[in-house]
Amino acid sequence: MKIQLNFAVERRLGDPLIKVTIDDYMLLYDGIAQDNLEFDVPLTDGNHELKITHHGKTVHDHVLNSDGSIAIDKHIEIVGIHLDHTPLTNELWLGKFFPVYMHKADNEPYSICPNLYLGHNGTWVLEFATPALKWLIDIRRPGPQLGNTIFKTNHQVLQEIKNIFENLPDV
Amino acid sequence: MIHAIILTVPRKAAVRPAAAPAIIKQIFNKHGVSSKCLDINLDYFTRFQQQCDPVLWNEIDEHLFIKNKQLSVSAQIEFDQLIQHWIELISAYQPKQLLISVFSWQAQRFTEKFLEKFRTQYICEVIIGGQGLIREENGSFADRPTFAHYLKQLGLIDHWIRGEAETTIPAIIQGNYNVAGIDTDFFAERSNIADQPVMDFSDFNIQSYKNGSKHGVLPIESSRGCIRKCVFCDIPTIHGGFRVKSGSQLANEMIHYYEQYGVRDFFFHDALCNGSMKDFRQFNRTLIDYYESHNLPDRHFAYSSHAIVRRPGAMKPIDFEHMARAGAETMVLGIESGSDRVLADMRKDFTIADLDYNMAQYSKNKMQVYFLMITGFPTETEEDHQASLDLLTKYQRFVADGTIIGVNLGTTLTIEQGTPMFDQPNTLNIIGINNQQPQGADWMCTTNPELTYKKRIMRRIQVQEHCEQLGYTFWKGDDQLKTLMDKYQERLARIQELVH
Repeated sequence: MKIQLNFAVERRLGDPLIKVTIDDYMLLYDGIAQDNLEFDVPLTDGNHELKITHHGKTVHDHVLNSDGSIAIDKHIEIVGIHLDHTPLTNELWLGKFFPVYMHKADNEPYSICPNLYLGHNGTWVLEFATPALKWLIDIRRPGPQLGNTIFKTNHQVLQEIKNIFENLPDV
Repeated sequence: MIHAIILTVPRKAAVRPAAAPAIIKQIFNKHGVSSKCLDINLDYFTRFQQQCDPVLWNEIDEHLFIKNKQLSVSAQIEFDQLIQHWIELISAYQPKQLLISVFSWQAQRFTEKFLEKFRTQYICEVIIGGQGLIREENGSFADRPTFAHYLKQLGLIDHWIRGEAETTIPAIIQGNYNVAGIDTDFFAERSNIADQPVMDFSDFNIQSYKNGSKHGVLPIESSRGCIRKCVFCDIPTIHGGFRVKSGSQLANEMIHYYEQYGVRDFFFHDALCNGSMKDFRQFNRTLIDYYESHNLPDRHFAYSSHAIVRRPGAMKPIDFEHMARAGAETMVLGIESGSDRVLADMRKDFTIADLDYNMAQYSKNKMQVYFLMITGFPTETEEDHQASLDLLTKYQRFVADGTIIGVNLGTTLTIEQGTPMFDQPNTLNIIGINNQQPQGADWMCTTNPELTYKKRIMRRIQVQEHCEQLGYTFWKGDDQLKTLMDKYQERLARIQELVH
């Protein structure tokens, strides 16, 4: 399966570091964040997790304005993911970010969703399935729903008629 | 009292008003004659379907399009009640004329059963018209309007109109039934499409059709005939040479419907919207200009249509972009096959490379397409069939990104009157069965003899199965498979009769 990742990278305070894995065991990339990464991954059909981990950020990797607001923040932002050349749209917002805080977390959320901005260190996780196109079609259900219309197509009717035809003589 | 009632009858999808009744009504208006359009088909798919027991409704529905499907007593009672309801409704208008638009062969059974009862209860002149005047199921042309002759013999109709209303209805209004197209086997004189009046949809409750559009959908027509001459198609024979409205005339007609009825969604019911690129460009440009001058966003209207696959030089990226901005929503493409060799035999005048280009443009500009495909073309080999399956696999990404919204496979290739294949079967080495003229599904190709009827059907089933596995939305599968089953069993019965 082809995976393309597109990031907006804030480099003014130095290059962010990222790690990209699938299902924890398959390391696709570990290094300086790039704007675009492309992988050709041999995956078996079934459920998987894509993980993008932002790491190596320190307490010095942001600059504050005089009013305390953040002026520059070392980060990466996920701007696009393509699976088998097909862009994820709403599915991107299903990804969950598990931040690693640089202090003892009290009220901070354990995970953030929807979120594509990886400001903290931490791991963004997207669950998906392969074949990816079929997964996308199944969750998107594109096109009109024909179930109760004159246009309908039913799997059972197809199988019944196929079985009948298979046993009919060829005339 | 209303002079003429114009009826739309089941069975057709109740997704928008039909064009023919609205054209006829406008012609009556022009001559100062009162008329009213009534849509039984809409009632059938809404009120009647909702109140009828689902099992009985399915039985009735199959009875309308499956020849050998008979009704149970309970279903017959329900069906009779529907017909009686409409006879009473029509009679209340005390019409002098009843015009029935027989949209296709699927409207024939209802028309016949309705008229059997109507004739015994109300006296007026009954006239039928439409493509359902013939018995052919996959074509629109036949030498003789056999269904019309049949009803006339039964005394169920007084007249039929073969061909265009524009040149026949004015004669009928004058009491002149002696013109081409009225009670003739040959077609009516063809009208100038540019003179066609704007249709009158005032009798229709446009928003009540089942199409998901908030403002309703209206049919519209840009052209008659076709610029291409695909060997399996009878459109050039029925509609003659390609005639097209100017782009600005068409856009202004659409704007008129919007301003008159508030409708923003349109479906072209002609064979193609991009036959004349000059006019198609002008049409899209006129709509874009209208949006800009009225402070409306791009795609304020949405239009869907059949379209042909154009080569990159004929339809440039800017044309697709303008199309999308003007509101092109879904294009119905007769892509037919994944094999260049079969496409060439069909005389489709495009290649898979051209189709790839078109698909990329539709996807890029966020327009949708709907595929029409044919399995079992006479020269289709196993390799060609595999190419079709591979094409569908390749285009799965266009399903995922929402570009392809459906596939319709039809009921395998049939050879119909009025098509080049019927007139010149030798060019593709096609012969009929038992020395008959090749027609319908009764043919074989001498250079591809293993492609039997059963083989064609099995390939069609395989393509449907493949589409299902890939996640394509498949249209009309149930209807088509049941029709194939019905036809094959009829064929078996015919052979058994011969044997005995």
